[in-house]
Amino acid sequence: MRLSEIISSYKSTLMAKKLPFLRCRACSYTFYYTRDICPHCHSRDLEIMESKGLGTVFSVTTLLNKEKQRTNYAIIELDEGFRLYSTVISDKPVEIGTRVSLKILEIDGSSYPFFVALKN
Amino acid sequence: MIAGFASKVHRKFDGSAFELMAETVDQALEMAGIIPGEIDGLVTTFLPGVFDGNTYLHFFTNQVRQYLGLRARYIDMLDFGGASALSMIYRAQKAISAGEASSVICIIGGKASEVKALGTTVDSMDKVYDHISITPFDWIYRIYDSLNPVSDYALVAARHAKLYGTDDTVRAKLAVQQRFNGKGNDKAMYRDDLTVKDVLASPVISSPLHLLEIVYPVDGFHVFVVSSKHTSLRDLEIKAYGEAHWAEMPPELPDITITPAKDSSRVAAFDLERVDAFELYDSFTTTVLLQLEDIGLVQKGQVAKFIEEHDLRYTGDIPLNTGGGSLNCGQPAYMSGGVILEEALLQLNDMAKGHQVKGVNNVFINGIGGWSRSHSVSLVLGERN
Repeated sequence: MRLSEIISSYKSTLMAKKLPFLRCRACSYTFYYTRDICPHCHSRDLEIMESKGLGTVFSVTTLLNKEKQRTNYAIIELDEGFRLYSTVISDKPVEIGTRVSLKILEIDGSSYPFFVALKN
Repeated sequence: MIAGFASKVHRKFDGSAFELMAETVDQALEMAGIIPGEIDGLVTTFLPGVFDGNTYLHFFTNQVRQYLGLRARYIDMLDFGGASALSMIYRAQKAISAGEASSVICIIGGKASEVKALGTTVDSMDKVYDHISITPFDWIYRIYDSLNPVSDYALVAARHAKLYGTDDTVRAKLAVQQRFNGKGNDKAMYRDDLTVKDVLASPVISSPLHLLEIVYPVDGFHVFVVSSKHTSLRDLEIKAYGEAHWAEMPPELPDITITPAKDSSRVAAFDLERVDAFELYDSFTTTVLLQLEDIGLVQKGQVAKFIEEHDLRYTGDIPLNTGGGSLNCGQPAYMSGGVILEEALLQLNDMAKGHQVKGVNNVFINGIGGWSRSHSVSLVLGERN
C-alpha cells in the first residue's frame, strides 16, 4: 500500500465515524500513526483495520486551550492494543484508567477521533 | 580538551542573534587564548524560529561562519534539541583526535523571545507558520489542543504519579533543592527563597505540572572551544559517552515513563559511585526525576523515596544540578544542554563561586532532546589520566 492510499482510507473510515488503525500481518503489531512500513519489524505487509472504538485512558493532562477552555489532552489505549494522542470530552476531571468510547468530531470539514467517558 | 567556554544569557536581548553569538564567541576565545584564525572547525545546531526569528536559515553553518569570518575544515550540525550541546564537544574531540581539526568552536543558542512574541513555543511552531511539520503524522496528530512540549511531559508525570504514587510534592521538593543551588549562582535568574508550598501554589499549566516546574525560555548563547591546545583550564577528557535515539511517537512507547537516558547511560557504562556531581537535563521537574531513575541512581518508580533519602543540594551527598539548572538559569533558545554543560565545566575547574561542590573529579551530564523524548546523550567529564 502506498502512504497516500493509507491516508485516504483513514479519511473515509473516519468520515464513516469509525477509527482506523494499521496491523502488520508479519508480526501482528498494531499502530495508529500512518506509515507504509511496520515500525516494529519493518515489513510492508500491512492491513488497515477498524477499531471497535473502545479503550482506556492511558494518561491525561488538563490544560487551557487558546480560547481558555479546559481541555483533557490524553493518550488513549484502544482495546486492539494501539495508542494515540486524543482528547477526552468531559466537563469533569478525567482519570487514568477511565473507560472511553470513540466520538468522531468534524473540524474544518474533516473527521477526527475524540473520546468520551463510558457511563458505568 | 576544553580550552575555553562562555555564556551570554538575557531574559530578552534587544540586539541581533548574530551580535550576541559573536560576543559569546569572543569571550570563549579570550578564555582559550585562541585567535579566530586558529579555529578550523564548527559544530552547531538549529531549531526553527529560535535563532533570530527566521523560521529557517538557508545554509545555517555558512551564515554563522560568514558572520564570524571563520573558514573551517570540519563542520558538523546536530539535531538533538537540548541534547545537542553534549554531543558537540564529543564530535569536536573526535574530529581533533582524527586529525581533521585542531580547534573546534561549538555554538548553541538563539533568541527564544522571537518565538515567544508569536505566542507559541518551539515545539508548536507549526501552529503559527505554514510549511513547518513536527512529525510525519501532523495531519492526524496536530488537530488536538495541546501545550506541546509541556503537555507531553505532563502526560508522563501523570502516568508516573499513577503507577508509582509520585505526587506533586516530590517534584516540588526537587524544584526547591535546585533553587537552593541557584541562590548561590550569579548566573541564575531566579535566586529568591522557594518552598514546596510556593511551587504547589503556582498555577497549574498542564496538570500535574505547575508554572515553577517549567523552564523559562530566554535569549542566549553558550560557546565551548574544544582544542588540542593546552590552556590554563584543567586538562579534561571524556571519561564515558553514550547516545540513544528512539523512533516511537510518545504514545507508541511501551512505557512512557522511561526515557532514552536508560540506553545512553548504559552505553556510557560509568560507575556512578565515582561521580561527584550530576547535571541532568531539567526542562521540567519531571524530566530530572525520570533521568534519576533511567541513569540508574535509583530503580524505576522509586524516585520519591530517593528524593526523601538524599540531599541533592551542592552541599549534599548527591549534588544535582549544582548551579540551579535551567529551571533557575533560564533555557536559552529552548535548549538546556549548554546550561548543564557549562555548569559541569565550572564545577570541574573550581570556578563555581557560591555553589562549588568540594573535590569534583568526575561530573555526569545527561541531555534529553526532542519534545518526544527522542534523544538522550550521557557524558562523563573528568581530569585526563
